[in-house]
Amino acid sequence: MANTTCDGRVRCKIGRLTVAQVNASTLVLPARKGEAYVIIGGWFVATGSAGTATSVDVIDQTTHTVAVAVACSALTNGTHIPFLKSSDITWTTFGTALGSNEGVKISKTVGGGDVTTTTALDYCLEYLVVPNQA
Amino acid sequence: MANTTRLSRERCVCGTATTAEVIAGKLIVPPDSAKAVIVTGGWMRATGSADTATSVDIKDTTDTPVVAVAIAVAALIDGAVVDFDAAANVTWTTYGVAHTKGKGLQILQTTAAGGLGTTTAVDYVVRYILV
Repeated sequence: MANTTCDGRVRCKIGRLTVAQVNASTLVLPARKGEAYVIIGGWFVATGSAGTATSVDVIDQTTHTVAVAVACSALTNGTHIPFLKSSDITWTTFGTALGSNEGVKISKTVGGGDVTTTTALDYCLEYLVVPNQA
Repeated sequence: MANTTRLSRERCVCGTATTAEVIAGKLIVPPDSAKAVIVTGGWMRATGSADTATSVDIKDTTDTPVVAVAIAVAALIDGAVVDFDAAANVTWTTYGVAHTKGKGLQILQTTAAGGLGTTTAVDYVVRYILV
């Protein structure tokens, strides 16, 4: 995490993606000129247990920097997986600004196999919008 | 907790405090003379596993700082996110409750213990409201 302090209003985006949208990588927060997103929390719930792929990730739009990755092994049918869970989660650029002027996508592991079996993914992203970080 | 309902827009401050800053105290939410701060949630993550000190705390800025929430260094293992709402290694004191009006928040190790060792930095995300 860069040694900068971000302070802002907590926002939340909730929605549902089909497995095809997850595999295709779908934009859930649009790019904002002069601003960046900071993912601070959230959760996933799969409908049908997720298979094959390694993880479902929250990434930025262009550079594909991972904010948080949730192991598919944890995405069993109907199970609520908070991003602050003590296992099955990999935090990378989490709690710090993602790319400048970039939106946020939910995606299978970039370059990895497709998510199978599951039919949909409910998501909640808790985030801040901050000025682009140096 | 006082039988009072607080309704306010939740805010969040996030950043990184170096070990030296955690030992000395780093201001993360500046005081507002007209407002009281209530910590509502958050998490910490150490770079390098923390030791020596007892805990890393979110405290207010009174002369004798009041603890909002304290995270035991035993949980601050390199790279692990420690939720303020975790069932273990977290002590909630003035948490979900208003601190004294006009006081800000700082991240500060337990003052009675030795200096925070081994870790090089602590990432923090602190959710709060101003009332």
